[in-house]
Amino acid sequence: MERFRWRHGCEEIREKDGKKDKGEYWHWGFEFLTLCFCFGSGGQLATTPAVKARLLSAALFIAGGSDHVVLVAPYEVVEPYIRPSLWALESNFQAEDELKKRRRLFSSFSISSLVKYMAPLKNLETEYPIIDPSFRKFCASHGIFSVEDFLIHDLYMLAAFAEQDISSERLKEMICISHGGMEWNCWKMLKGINMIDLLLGGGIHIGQLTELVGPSSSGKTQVCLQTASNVASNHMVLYIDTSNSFSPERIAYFLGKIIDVASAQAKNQILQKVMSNILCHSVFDIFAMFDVLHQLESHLRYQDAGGCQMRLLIVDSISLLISPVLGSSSTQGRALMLSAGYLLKKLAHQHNLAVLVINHTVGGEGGCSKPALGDSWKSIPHSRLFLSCVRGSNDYNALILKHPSMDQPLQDDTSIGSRERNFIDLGIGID
Amino acid sequence: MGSHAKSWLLEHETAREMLERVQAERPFLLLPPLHRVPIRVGNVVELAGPSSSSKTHILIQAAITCILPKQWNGVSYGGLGHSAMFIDLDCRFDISRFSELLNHRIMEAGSSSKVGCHKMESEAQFARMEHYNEELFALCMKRFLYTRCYDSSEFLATLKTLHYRLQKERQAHGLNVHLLLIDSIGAFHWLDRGSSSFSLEGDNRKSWHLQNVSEAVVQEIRRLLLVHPMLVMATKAVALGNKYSTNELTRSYGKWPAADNQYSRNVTSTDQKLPYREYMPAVWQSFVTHRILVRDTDDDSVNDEHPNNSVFLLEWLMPPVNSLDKFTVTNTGVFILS
Repeated sequence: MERFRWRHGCEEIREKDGKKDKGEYWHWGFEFLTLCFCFGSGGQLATTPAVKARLLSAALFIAGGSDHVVLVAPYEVVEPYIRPSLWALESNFQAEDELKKRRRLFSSFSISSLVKYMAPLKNLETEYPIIDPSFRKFCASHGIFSVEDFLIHDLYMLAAFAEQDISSERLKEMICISHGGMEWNCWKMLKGINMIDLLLGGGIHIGQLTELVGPSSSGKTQVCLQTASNVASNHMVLYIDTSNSFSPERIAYFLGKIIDVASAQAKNQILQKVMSNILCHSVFDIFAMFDVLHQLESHLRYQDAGGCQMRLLIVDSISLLISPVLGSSSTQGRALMLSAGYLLKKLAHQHNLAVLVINHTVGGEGGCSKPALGDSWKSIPHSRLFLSCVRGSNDYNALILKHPSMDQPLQDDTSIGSRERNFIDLGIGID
Repeated sequence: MGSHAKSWLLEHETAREMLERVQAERPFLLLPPLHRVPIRVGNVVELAGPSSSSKTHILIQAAITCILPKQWNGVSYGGLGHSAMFIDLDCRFDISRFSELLNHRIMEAGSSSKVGCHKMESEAQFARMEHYNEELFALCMKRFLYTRCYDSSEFLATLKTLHYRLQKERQAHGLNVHLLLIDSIGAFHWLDRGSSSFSLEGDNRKSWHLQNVSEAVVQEIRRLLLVHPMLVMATKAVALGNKYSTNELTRSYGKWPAADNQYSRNVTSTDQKLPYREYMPAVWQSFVTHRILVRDTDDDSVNDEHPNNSVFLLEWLMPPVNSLDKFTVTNTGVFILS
């Protein structure tokens, strides 16, 4: 029973500059199905495209004779292919025509995210009995194998081609299946968190993505920590930390300033509760962040509505995660950045979270600094806030760069024409 | 046979009658600040501009003008009384802001009409006015349809099912949708470009390339326009070239250290070349019938009536109009300055 055993394979590549890079895979095969698990070398971003290509081609070669191959690989291995779509490495199979025709690959990012559009139509049959084999055969004859293909094609032409038993009714139903319902979540609630609330018009909005930009040591992390400590008294907070900047001591310090309970024991209790409400994840590359966010999404979708709800998501230095990817290859990097932004916005809107991300600045024209991550990122956040430190003092300035209600005339008559507020005491001073 | 031919040759209406009928059914819309060139149902207008240049605001004001009735309870609001459909691809739409703006417009129209007649002295009148305003607000919000897409797949699915949804609206409420607003048609451009899916050679299978997706989108909108004639307005975020580049931090706030007007723009653009890099595929570019460029200015000198609001510059690229409009946005609408 040899074919039911797990087999191990390893691909090694020696780069031009002498470096060795390694990837390994485990596979198990049955008649029509092969499962193949691939791992990059140490799961690092540094896995080269060459290794990836070799790994994947090896996986395909193993799967010779199978109708279906399920390729399960972490982000690192399938990094260029952001959307898990059906693909094949043509170069390896030029000579094998019949294998090509039967080759279907399904890849998934993490355990929980099999995107519904990429699934083949066969899988939807149990849920929607309208997709019976004759319909699928009709679709296959037009090159439609998944819902994604269905979206690209011209449906009215298909209806014209349809045979007698496939009516336009079926096609119409098919469209309705592919279109999920869009819900409207009420997000009028604002959070009163700290003094920046005044600037932001009441607080960080739930359901929106707020960005804090600023040069180094301009108080961004402190603002995040204070926000987290304020919110964690009543709700859960997820803190995604990329630069080891999360500090429980600071949280305790901020809490100490606002709690005015006499006994030390009661204070301790509150402190314990707050600390248990803050979940801190350390991530060091963007794929780990995607993983955390997908896990969060599935957790939020299936949790029951009792107990402490998660209301705040903080990503400390999203620029640290995205900048390495942006530099390497232009289209993939930007696509990764934008899909991260959309995922954050989706989480904010669908699960009623307030999302706070931190960004750095880079040098712009004329020597003044501008926010990092470029022009494409500008349209992602709902509001942007620029923090800076006034030289030689403990004052910090905050300036709004963008806000949904920015064109409102200011209520305060003394600051006509200026959208800047000085905060003498953001609570950030040197201890 | 002869009578058939003759009846076929008989005229149904003269050219003048036809023009009058078309003008009545599909009038030219003059929405500020797009008042230079008359646009009508069936046109596709593209509003290009860098980030934070009030493009979405223009869309919102157009939607408000569309959903307000022409006249209601004796007060004239000057709207069109039709439905508007907003497809949010940027996912940044703020419904509380939208309702605020709608309320401002309703109240402003109500108060300006009353001033002419008589002062509102009694409490009862005030309460009644509030009640009418609320009713009108509810009526208008029913006419505003909104949907949001996080992905090109969702966008395509929305477009394909839009026909049935609009048909249902028409049957249920008797409302026609006259305005289709798409916020950021280029939102998924980089995502689609980045997702390269190889297609199996030899199969007649369309792969998910940027080209195929854009073609599908344009085809769907075209089909939709045949059955539901609408005015399509889409925004597009662009990055202007060096001459027009703006850095948000060099606005003239006195205390700000880097505030100098070194990078204030030359506003004359006489060449026909686009001042920004066009990234949308050719199939979309040829679908667009009108193109506008909006951007922010630092120039606050003309802004006497609305000192707190920033001034924007609008330029018609297609059809080219040799003048620039300055306008400002406030809570009650868009005001042309020059």
